[in-house]
Amino acid sequence: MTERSATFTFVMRAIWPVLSLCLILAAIWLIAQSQSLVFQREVTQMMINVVLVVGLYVFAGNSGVLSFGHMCFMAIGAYVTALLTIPEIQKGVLLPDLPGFLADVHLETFPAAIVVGLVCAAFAALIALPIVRVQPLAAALAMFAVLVIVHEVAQEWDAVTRGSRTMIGVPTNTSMNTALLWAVAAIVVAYLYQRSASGLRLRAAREDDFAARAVGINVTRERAIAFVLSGFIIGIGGFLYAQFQGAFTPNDFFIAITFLTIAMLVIGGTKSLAGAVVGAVSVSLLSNFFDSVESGELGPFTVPERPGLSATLLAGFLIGGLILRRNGLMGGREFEWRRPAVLDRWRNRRAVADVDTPRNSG
Amino acid sequence: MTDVIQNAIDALSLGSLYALLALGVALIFGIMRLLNFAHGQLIVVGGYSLWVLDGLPTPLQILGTVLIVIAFALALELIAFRPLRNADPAVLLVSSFAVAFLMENLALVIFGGRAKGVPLPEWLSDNLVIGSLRVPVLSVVSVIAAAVLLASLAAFLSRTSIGIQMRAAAENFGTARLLGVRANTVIMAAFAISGVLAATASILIIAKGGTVTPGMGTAPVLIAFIAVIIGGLGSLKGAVYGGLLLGILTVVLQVILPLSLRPYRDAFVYGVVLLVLTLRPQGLVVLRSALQRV
Repeated sequence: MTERSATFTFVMRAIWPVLSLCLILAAIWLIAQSQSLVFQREVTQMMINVVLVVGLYVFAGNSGVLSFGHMCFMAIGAYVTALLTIPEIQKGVLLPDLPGFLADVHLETFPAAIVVGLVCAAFAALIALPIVRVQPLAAALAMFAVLVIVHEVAQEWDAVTRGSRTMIGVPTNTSMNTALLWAVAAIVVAYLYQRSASGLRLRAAREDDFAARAVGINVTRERAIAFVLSGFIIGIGGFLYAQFQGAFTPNDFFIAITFLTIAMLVIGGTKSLAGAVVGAVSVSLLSNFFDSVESGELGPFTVPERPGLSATLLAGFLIGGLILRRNGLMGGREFEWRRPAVLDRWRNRRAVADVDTPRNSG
Repeated sequence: MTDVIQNAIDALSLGSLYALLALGVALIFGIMRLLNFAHGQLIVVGGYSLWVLDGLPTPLQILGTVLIVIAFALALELIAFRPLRNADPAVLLVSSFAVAFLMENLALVIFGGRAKGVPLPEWLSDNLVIGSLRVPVLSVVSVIAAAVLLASLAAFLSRTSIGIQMRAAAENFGTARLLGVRANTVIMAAFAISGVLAATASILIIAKGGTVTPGMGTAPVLIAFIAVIIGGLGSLKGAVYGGLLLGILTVVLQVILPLSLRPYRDAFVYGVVLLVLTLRPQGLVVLRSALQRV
């Protein structure tokens, strides 16, 4: 093998797990270019789902501790986005009782996204202590308690969140392109984290808690790091969602989205980044399909409209998927780089020919 | 003074309802390491059974409801959980989450989202007047129902063969099976009992609220989970304590919180729960069998 192709293989081995996922998203983005506006909106929502599920994966996937409350970061992200980006005059009308400094603040899109992520990360750091210390099942439900708290505060804190009324007037800056870029960024960050020393230590603890502790890994600390990072990413997801929809209520960040993101992660396979992305993409497609069934269009057929049908079908699919493939579609594997088999065969044949020829002539 | 007694009665009745809920979840968890999210949907099933069976004499209506809920509990185990036996607890939890979501939305498809009124006998909503004290009949019924069920469950677990097998299975499932305990029998029995507990809780909840909706199962099951966790996962005694504690905490906060903070009552309750978990990550009652050994 020549030195150049060895380097190429080395590089590809390192970046292919990320590159392949980005290529999948890019392909979908490319297909969507020529499609209807409705389809493009669905693709945008899919990219946002990728951000959310990758964020969930950073904690749940790497640590093996599931969480039923990570969408609280999405809620906080969305509300902070509203406070930071709704134009001041409109904000004065919508939220007349807003505390002073919040009423005056206004940020451009990108800085706002970063601030939103940081606020969510700070909140994650604040609540991390009980979550990362309790045993995995208890942690999953303790997070649910956090979600309930955040939901109730969002629903009652009229002065800042408009209570249970719809928050409106958020500038709609999330396009399909920006959503794609953020999804790619989330994937890259998640991959860098899982290959970092801290990420590897956490994954070791996921496989065997006691062995990991025995070699000196501080499991609590590593979990906390992943927890804060996942809070940041999901916060960005909330930012994208807010700037995509322009309007939302506290119920957008409660049971339904929690179920959807967990379904995506588990169907894809919790233990790998590829699982998170594949799950998010495939379940988004499926859920869009079921939604259209629910609203009565089934290709050329029309069926009677039935609220709740889409979620029922999705849940049934999830249970079936779990029974058939406990470890998800990806089964905990990443997309590993392999030279295409055809290339190998061709190269082998040539090598054999090279060896054979001199012998024959000699 | 009257107020204090009044509130104490409220706390006790809410606490016993929560204890019933927690017990149903803890029983299943102890044996098969499944935190059964669908337990809440059994309560919804109970509610709709009451609604469907409305018109029958009350005892028949209640009996029918209990039987239907038990049937659903057993069906859950056969269809959704048996194929996943021995799976990772997280996978089981997600599958029970999916089952609950499926049942909630199925109820939405079948019955629609609007609340259905379930008329129950009027004497349930009466008050017993003792001096200056007004005690709702429903509170008394809740406390008595919980006490009776707890006592019979305790007797069942310590006196009957299958009860003892269940305790053995909860202690160490593998060893119990080696000694001849039939896994399926024990698990079916646990689901049947959790069905009885869910049906009772359902009747009490419906009697209090008067209506049934597809989404009403989530709040109770969440309370049950939290009670089980602060009680100590896997401990039946802990589940009862956790439930009582949560009920008392809710009523106490309702009384002592200033009016402006009262809408946030549940947030405070869950805040205290998080605090308890910070201080005692293993829960209040720590089982030796629940501690992981190397």
